[in-house]
Amino acid sequence: MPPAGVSGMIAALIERMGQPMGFTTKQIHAGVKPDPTTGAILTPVYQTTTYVQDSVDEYLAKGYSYSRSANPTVTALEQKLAVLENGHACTCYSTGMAAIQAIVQATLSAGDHAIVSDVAYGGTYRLCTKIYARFGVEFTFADTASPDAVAAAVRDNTRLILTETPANPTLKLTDIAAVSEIAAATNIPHAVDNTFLTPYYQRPLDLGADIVVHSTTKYFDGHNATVGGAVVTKTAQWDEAIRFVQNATGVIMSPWVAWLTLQGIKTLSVRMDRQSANALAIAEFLEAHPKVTRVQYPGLTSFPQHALAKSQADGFGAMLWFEVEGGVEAGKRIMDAVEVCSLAENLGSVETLITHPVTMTHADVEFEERQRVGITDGLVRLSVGLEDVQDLIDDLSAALDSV
Amino acid sequence: MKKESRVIHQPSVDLPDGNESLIGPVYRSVKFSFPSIRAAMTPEARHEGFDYSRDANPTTRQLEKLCAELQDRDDAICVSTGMAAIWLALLGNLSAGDRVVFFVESYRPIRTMVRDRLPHFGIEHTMLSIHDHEAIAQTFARDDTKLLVFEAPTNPMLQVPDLDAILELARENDVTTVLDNTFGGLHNHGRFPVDLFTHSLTKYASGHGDVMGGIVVGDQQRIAALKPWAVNMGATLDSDTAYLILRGLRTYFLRFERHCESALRIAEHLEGHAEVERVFYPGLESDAGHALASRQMSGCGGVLSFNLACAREQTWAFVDALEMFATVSSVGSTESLVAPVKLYFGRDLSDAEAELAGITDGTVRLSVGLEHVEDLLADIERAFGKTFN
Repeated sequence: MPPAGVSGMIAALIERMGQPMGFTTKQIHAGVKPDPTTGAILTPVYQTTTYVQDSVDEYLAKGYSYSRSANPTVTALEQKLAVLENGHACTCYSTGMAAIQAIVQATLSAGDHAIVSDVAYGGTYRLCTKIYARFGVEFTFADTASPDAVAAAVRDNTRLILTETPANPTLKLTDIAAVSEIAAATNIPHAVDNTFLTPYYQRPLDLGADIVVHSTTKYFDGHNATVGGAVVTKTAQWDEAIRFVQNATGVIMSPWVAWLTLQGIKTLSVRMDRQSANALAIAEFLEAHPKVTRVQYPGLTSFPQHALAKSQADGFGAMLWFEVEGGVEAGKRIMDAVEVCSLAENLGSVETLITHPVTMTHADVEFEERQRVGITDGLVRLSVGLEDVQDLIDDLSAALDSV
Repeated sequence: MKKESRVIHQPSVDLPDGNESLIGPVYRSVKFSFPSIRAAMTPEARHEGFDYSRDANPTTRQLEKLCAELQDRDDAICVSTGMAAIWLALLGNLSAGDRVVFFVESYRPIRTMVRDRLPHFGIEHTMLSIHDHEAIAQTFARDDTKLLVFEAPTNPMLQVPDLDAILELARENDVTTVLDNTFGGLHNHGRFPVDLFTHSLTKYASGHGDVMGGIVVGDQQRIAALKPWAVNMGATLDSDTAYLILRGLRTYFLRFERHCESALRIAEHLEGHAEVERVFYPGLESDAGHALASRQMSGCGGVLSFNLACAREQTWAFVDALEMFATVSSVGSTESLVAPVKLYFGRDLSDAEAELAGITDGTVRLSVGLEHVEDLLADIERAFGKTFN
C-alpha cells in the first residue's frame, strides 16, 4: 500500500512555500520530511522488513506492512521522483531493466503487440527478443524519430509504445509530443525512457507521455555507487497496475540504495549542468579535429535534430559519440590509449566513461540491425563526467595523436 | 572443508588481470591477513600494510590520502568527528604544565574543550581576541605557551585571522599551530605554514548532512607522531562513513562554489535591510575581513552571520519563521540551516566576552544550502514580514 498520494504533497509544499518551487529546490526538499520523532533532517534508512500494527482493525493505518510492498526510505525517493517528473506517483526497482520489465508486464499479455524504438538500449532489445517474445508478445522495432513510422506500425493489438530519447547510443531523438499524440489517438500508453536527460532537462509527462522510466544508476545516483530503476506515471490507474507488478515480482529497491540515490539527486542539477558544458566543449573539440570523421551531440548546431533537442528539452545532456578515421581498429586504439576516460559500460556518473557499443553494450544486436539503426563498428560513445574539461580534451587529443 | 567452516571461510572472487572496478570497494573487514608472521613483520607491512581497522583501513586510508593532497600536506589521520580531530591534535602535542592559546571568537565546543577538559590534564589556557596581535605576541613569549588552536574564518562570527602575522609570531616563539580549517575548506590555506590542520568532514567534505567524521592533516613527521595517539584513542572513522565522504568529495568543488555564490547573494541582500545592524561575511566588500580573506582564501564558504536590531524574543521568532532553513547546529550541507547564535554558541560567554566576540541577542547564523537562491531570499523576506510587521 502506498502512503498518501503525491499530488497532495506537492500542493502542500507549494502552499507552504507560497510560490512554485524551482527545480533545484525540489531536488533537495521534495519527498523528504524531517523525522517526526527525532527531527533528523534526512529520512532514515529504514532497514526493516516488517511493521508492527497497533491492532487488526488498524492494519495499514500507518501505510506500511512489509518492505517488499513499501518501505519509508524507498517511498521518500519515489515521492521525490514523482515530483521532479511532474507525475502522479512513482515506483522504484532494483535496476533500470527491472523498471522496464515492470512496464512491459503491466501493459502486455500473450497475443499483444508493442512498438519499441529501433535504437533502444541493448538490454531492452534483449528483454523483448529473448524473453517476452517467448511468451507470445510481438514487437515492432520502429524508427520512432519518424512519427509517421510509429503511426504506420500501430496495429489493433498494440498495447504499448516504448521510446527512448535521446536514444542509446545513437542519440537519435523522438518527438515526444508527436508520438504521444499518436498514442493518445489510439488509446495506447506511451512510455519514455528519460535516463539520458533526467527531469532536470526533459519532462516527458508534460509533453503528453503516460509513463516515464529511468535507470537511477545513471544521473540520479551519479556516483557509480548503486544500481536501480524507477517508473513514474501520469495517472493513479497506471501506477496501480505497475505497482502491482512491483509488489508481485518483488524486484524492489533496497532502502540503502534508495537512500544513496536520494543523496545523489541533491546535486543532480549542478552535475548535469557541468557535465553538459564539458560535453559541448569536447564535442566542439572533436568536430574540429582532422582525424575525427563524425561527431554527434544534440548541442552541436550540426546535429540533424538540433532544433527538436532545443524545443523539447532544457539541456543537451552529457552523452556524445564520434567516429575516427581508420574504423574499428582506430576506435579500439583510442579506447586503449585514453587515461583519464575509463573504459567501462555505465554512463551518467561523475567519472568520464568511454564505450565501444559494438563490442560492449550492443553486442547482442544483430549486425544488420546495428547497421540499419546507425551503430557503426567505429562508433565510440562518451559519457562525459565532472573531471576538468581540459584534462579530458588533452586525454582525447593524446589518444587521437597515437592513432 | 565442512560447510560449517565454509560459511566462515567463504570463497573469494578475484577479478581477472586488468579487469578492475572503477570505484574502490568499501573494505568492511575488521582484520587483514598476511601469508606468514614473517611477512607481517617486514617494515613495509608494518608501515604500509593493514592489520586491524582501528589502526588503518584501505577505504579510510584512501580518504586520508585524498584530504592530505587537497590540503597540500603529506599525510592525515581520520577520526570519528571534527571534535575528535581537535582532541587528537591537542592531546598529542601537549603535556601537563603547558599553556594553550585560543580565541573568544572561536567555536564553542573548542572553548569548552580548552577551558573545561584540558585543566583535568594540568594544561593551562589563555583566551584572547583573534585580532589582538599584541596580546598574542605577549602570551606566545611565555615559556609555557606551547600551542595555538584557532579557526579561519571563525565559527560563528566569521572573523578572519591574519595568518601571516599570527603564524610568524608562532614560529618565532616555537608555538605549535592547530588550525581548524572546516570553514575555510580543504582547498584553502594549504600554502600557509600551519603545523596541523583539522577538519570536521561532517560539513563541506561530505556535504550532504548524512555522516560525521573528522581529520587531522599535516606533514609526515607530525602525523607519524600522532598516529599512536589515534590508535589508542580508538576514535576510528568506519569504512562505510569514509566511503560516503569520498563520494561526497566528488562534488566538493561544485558545491563549495555554489554555497559561496548563494551566501554572497544573501549577505548582500541582508546588508541593505532595515532590520539588520551588521552582516558578518568575509566575501562582502564592506566586511572588515574582506581584504585579508581575498588574499588568503579562494571562496569564503556558505556560512554567514548577521545581527538583527531587536531583542531575543523577536530573534527567535524570526528564526522560527524561516521555513527553508532548518533550525539545527550544523553547517555545510546541501540543506539550508539557521541557528540563533547566543543560545547555541554563546551560553558559556560572559557579557563582556560576548561583546568582544561581537555576539548580541540579535545574532543569527545561516548556513546557505544548494536550494535555488531566489527561494531562500523569498523565505527570508517572508520571515522578516512575519516577524517585524
